[in-house]
Order: sequence, then structure tokens, then C-alpha cells
Amino acid sequence: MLGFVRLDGIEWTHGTSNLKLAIGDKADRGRGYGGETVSLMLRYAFSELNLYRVSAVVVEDNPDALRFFQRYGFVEEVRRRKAIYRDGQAWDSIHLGILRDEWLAIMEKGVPGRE
Amino acid sequence: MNNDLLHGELVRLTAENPEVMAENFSRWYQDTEWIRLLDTDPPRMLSGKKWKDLLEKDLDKNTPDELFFAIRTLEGDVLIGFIGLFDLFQQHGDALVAIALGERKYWGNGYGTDAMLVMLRYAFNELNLRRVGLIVFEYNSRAFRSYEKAGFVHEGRVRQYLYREGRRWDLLFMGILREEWLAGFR
Repeated sequence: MLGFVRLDGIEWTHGTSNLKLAIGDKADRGRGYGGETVSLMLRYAFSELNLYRVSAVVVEDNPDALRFFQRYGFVEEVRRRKAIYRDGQAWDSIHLGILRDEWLAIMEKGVPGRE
Repeated sequence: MNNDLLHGELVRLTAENPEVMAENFSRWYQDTEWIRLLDTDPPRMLSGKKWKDLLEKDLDKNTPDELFFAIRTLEGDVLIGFIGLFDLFQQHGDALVAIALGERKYWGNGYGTDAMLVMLRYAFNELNLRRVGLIVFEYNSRAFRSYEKAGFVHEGRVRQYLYREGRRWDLLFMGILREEWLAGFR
């Protein structure tokens, strides 16, 4: 087992949800497992659950996570400034989102991957 | 040092017994336009008894991540709404604030702003928070303007989150940092 993925906070009347993903062992990251997981979850969210948008939240002190979600089509939407205090420093909490139309457009062009 | 923490110029923040809140909530929650400004959940009608049971459980729980107050006018002692801090992450010093005035008569006359300033003073000068955030719906321009007046900065929008009346609306995020509060209001 590599980690976990969770789609929660589903508000059915609005078609929204929040995605959480974590790969526990550093050695298992950067190998495409997270990317494939996100692709599977987005397809499930949009094509099976018929949701309209999927959000993700990352912390500024984790630039890999921010780049990861952006690579798969998530757009940065909100910076809750200095919301997280860790290691003697204040970091922004960053909200990203991908809409169904955006996901469909990406699917049309082919499965996203690394640049 | 001004020790009158929960009094403003127009309102004071109080605690109320569940029966009192239940009576007001069941009246306010019949105003579905008001609920649509406040809540993403679809409005539903709850009986007075259901409200009382819910609030009895809710108001007396001692969760460290929530603080709830009723808002009463100083003149006339009218219960006009509520304000609270939620998602209080103690180690980060961050919280979300939510305010709602159920008595429409008191809109647009500074009562909401006064309650908000009392809450922020409490948050920054007593709880020593680092920041206070809030979420406001795109179609609630009155509230957005009022929050700007209170010093909140627009931090972004969660796009097209709400689906109501056949179209989509954004959730606007706002926040005020401790240093911004100290510079502007104290």
C-alpha cells in the first residue's frame, strides 16, 4: 500500500467535492502513482458521481504538491494568507479547483502527464 | 486597557438559553432568501421543537474549535442575529467568522459591522489569533462591502461552487491578518 486518496465534503446540490491525496513513503513519490490516482479519481468524480468541481487544498510550504495539482489541471483560486503556522513561519493555505468543463477539455487533448 | 470585550457601540455579544435561540431561529429560518445568503445547504423547515433539541445539543457542547454568540442591540435589548468563530485551529491561530442578522430591520445601519468589530477585537486582543477569515457568496454584495469596511481583504474565489436558480456562483474568500487589524483598528 502506497497511501490514500479521499473525495469528501460532497455537496450534492452543488456538485462539489474535495480531494485529498497522500503517498506515505518519500521513495514512492515522483513515480507517477499520484498522477494516475488523480486521473482515476477525477474520472470517477466527473463521469460517475457527475460532480461539477473538485477542490484541493495545499500548504505553501509544499511546492511539490502545488505543482502536482496544477499539472493535472487544477487552477489556483484562493490564498488564505498565513493561515498555517509551522516551523516558526506563517504559510499560505492554497485552494485549487478543477471544473468539469476544464477536465473534459484536458481529456479531449489526451491524458495529462509530465511536461 | 479597555476591558469591555463583548460590548460595541450598537450591540453586545451574549449567550442565550436554547429556548430563546430556538424561537428566533425557527422564525429567521423561514426567510429562505436569508438562508440562501448564509448557507450552502438547501433551506428546510424545522419545527420549534426540533430547533430546541438541536440547539440544546449544539449550544452546550464545549468544543474548543467553536465560539458562538447571539447579538443583542444595546438600545432595546433586541436579539437580532448571531456571530461565531469556527474552525479555530489553536496552534495556527486561524479561525473563520460567520455572522447573520435574522432581523432584516437592522440591516444597513451599522449593526452588523459593529458586531463584527467586537468579534475581531475579541479574536485579536483576547484570543490572540493571527488571522480571521470568512466566506461570502458572490451574490451577497451587501455583505461583501460590509466586510471590506471592517478591514477584510479579498483572497480569491472558489469558482462556480454554488448552483442556484439555474446558474453558478463563486464563493469569495476574505481574510484579515493580525498586523492589518492592529494597523487599522486596534
